[in-house]
Formats: sequence, C-alpha cells, structure tokens
Amino acid sequence: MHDHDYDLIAALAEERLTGEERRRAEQTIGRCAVCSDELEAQRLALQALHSMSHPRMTDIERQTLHRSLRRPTASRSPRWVRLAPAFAAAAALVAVFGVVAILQPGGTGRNVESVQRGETFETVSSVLQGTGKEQDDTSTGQEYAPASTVTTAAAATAMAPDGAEESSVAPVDLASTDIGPFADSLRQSAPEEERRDATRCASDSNTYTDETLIASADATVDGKPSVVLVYGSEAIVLDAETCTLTLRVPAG
Amino acid sequence: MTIDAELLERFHRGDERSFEELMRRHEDRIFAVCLRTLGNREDALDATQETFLTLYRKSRTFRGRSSLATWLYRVAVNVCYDRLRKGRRHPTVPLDDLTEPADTDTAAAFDTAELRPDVERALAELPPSFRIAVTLFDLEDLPLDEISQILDIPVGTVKSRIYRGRRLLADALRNFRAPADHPSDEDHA
Repeated sequence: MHDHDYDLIAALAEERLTGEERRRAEQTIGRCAVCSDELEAQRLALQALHSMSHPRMTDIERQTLHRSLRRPTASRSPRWVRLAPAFAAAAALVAVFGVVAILQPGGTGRNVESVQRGETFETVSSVLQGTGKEQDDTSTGQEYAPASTVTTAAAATAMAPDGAEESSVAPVDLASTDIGPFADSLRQSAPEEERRDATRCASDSNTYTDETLIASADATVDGKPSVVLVYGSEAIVLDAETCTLTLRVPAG
Repeated sequence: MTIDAELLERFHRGDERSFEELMRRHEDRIFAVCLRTLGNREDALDATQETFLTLYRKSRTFRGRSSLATWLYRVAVNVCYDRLRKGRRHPTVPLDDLTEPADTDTAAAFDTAELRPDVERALAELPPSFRIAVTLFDLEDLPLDEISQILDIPVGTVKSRIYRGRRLLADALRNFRAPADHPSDEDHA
C-alpha cells in the first residue's frame, strides 16, 4: 500500500516530464495498478479535451452583445436613491428589524461572526438564518456548499432620510443584542476605511434586486472577502473583489 | 502600463470606444468559459453580457490587484455560478436576433461544437466546480495561480479539482462508449 502520487500522475499525463525524470516516473507508476489506471484516465480525459474546438460567438451573437452594452443602464439612478426620501424614515427602523431577523440565533443556517475590521477583532457569534435559496439547485447535484461562516465587519450602514449613508455598528453580539442599542449603533458613522467594500459595491446594488437597500456591511463569507447587503426580504452576499453576486439568503 | 489598463483609463475619461475595444479583447474567452460552464449558447451570451455590464458599471472598483482578464474571469464565474444555482435562465435582453437567418456562420459554429458531442456531454455532466477548473486549465490554458485567484481557492484545491474533474470525465466517456460494446439488459431478456 502506498500513497498514490497524483501530482506525478498529472505531470506524466500532461507531458511535463522529460528524460530521466520521465523514465523514473513511468517506472514508479508502472509498479502500481491503481496509478496506471489513473494515468490512463487522465490521458483519456486530456486527449478528449484537447480534441474539442474553442467555441466562439457567431456574428449575430457578437452584434447582440455589443448592441446590448452600447447603452447600458448604468446611468440610471439606483432605486434606493430615487425612493430614499419616501422610505428614509422607515428604512432605519426596518434596517434594525431586517438585520436582526436575518442575523438571528437559532436558525438552521450559518454562523455569523461580527468583527471589527482593523487591529482589534472581536468575535461574536450568531446565526444567519435562512433555508438557503442557494441550496435549491439540486438539479445539478453540485458542490454549492452553503456559506458556513459569515464574518461581518462592524461597518454596517443604513440609509438616512436624505438617502445618504449614515451610521455604523461597533462589534455587536447579534445573538444577544437588544434592538435599541443596535439601532443606535447603526446610526453612528462608520469610518470610511471600515466599509470600503460595502460602499463600493452597494453603489450599484439595484443590479440584483428591486428592493430598497437598508443596510450593508463588509464581511467575510466562507473565508472570502465579501459584502453583505440587507434588504427587506433577503440579504445578498457579493464578492468584494468584483461586487458580483455569490449568495442569496432569504430572511427567516 | 498594460494595454488593458490604458484602455480602462481612457474609458474612465469618457472614451466609450475604449470599452468596446476592451470587450473585443476579452469577449471570446469569457464567452467560451460561460458556454462550457452553462452548456448553452443563449445562457452563455447572457452571462457574457452580464460580465461586461459589470465591467461597465464597476470598472472603477477594479483595483488592479490582478490582471483585468483575471478580474473578468472571476466576474464571469460568479455570474455563471449564480445562474446555475437558480437553475433557470435570466435573459437580460431579448435575444430574438439569434433566430434571424442572416447569421451565416451560425451553422459552422454549431457544426464545430458537434465534432465531439460525447466530450461536450461528459464535460457538461461534471460538477460545476470541477467543470470550471478543467475548463480554465485544460481548455483555456490558464496557469494554476491565476485560476487560484479567479476561483479564490488555494492552488492545491485547483489541482485537486482539475484532477478529479478529468477522472470523472474519463469515466463518463467510458460509460458513453460502453453500451456500444456490451449488449443491453433488454437484449438478454
């Protein structure tokens, strides 16, 4: 019994080895039936893959793509900006209830650790509740590991009556915090450097929903830098690097 | 300064043609990855459009930590994952033009894709995480460290997904061929 050297098998299959190195590798692999079978499978797959042609767009597809992007809707004001005056007063309250509803203990979903970005990290626990729309793709049976750990930076923001961003939260234990103090913390200003990603990504948040944005926070989801945007019926998680959607979590 | 960085800077100064040039430089590769991942041209075109729409809207958020190509691949992969999660199509614009007969090279494109339908099918049946890793490495020839950045996973995980993806692909190909070599149960009945 020995550990099969998958790196070596891959190197041989990809023909990255030459000369003596290759000869020795072939000898090693040749002495192990499992390794030989693995090598054959790798070679078969590579041969098949390399026989595929590179897909390209047709002329019509290319024209469609360019035409659709010639006048993108980027200039449209985000809905929350347009509706902010009407929703503003309610938003602060909804933010509190919305966030607490989503980030509450005892749910079936995910661990949430709210931390202070910067030098002083305080870890607190809660659970991001949600049965997980992201898990409903059983049709493909694929590896959509639900976000198991969400770490939100203590930099949530809420919409102020004039539509401007306002407030932040200090590290709070969402499992035990009272709504009142949490609301107060939301109304405090967060230092710019503590909500860079949230501010950046939230500027175009209407890409993903028509709902009014009520709160946003820098976050780490499954160890990846992310942004959490909170709406009335769901929270969405964006890749902090590209501001693209990675997860939707319905409110519990 | 790279060509992409130069084009991006000009686009930020208001030169829309620079954006078109950026698209032209990357659209085929992004489309190819979307097509391999999503399995049909309409969804792939939608995902490609969404990727470049993201670039249009959020190009100022691109911080240059990676190349623009890497950033675009990452956006595209996220868009594709989102679509696969939902399990349904989300057309962002009507694609009626696809049915117009003037597209003279459509037939050629589809013919080419059908050269190895068994491989297409085997690839389509892989778990998306494996399919994307195999596509980026074996079909797009991207280096492991770039794929690691695109998928935001360690290089070791990338290698593992490629290896396991190929293994599953080989098994699927063998299964496709098996019925021709062995009579079915019904034949024995």
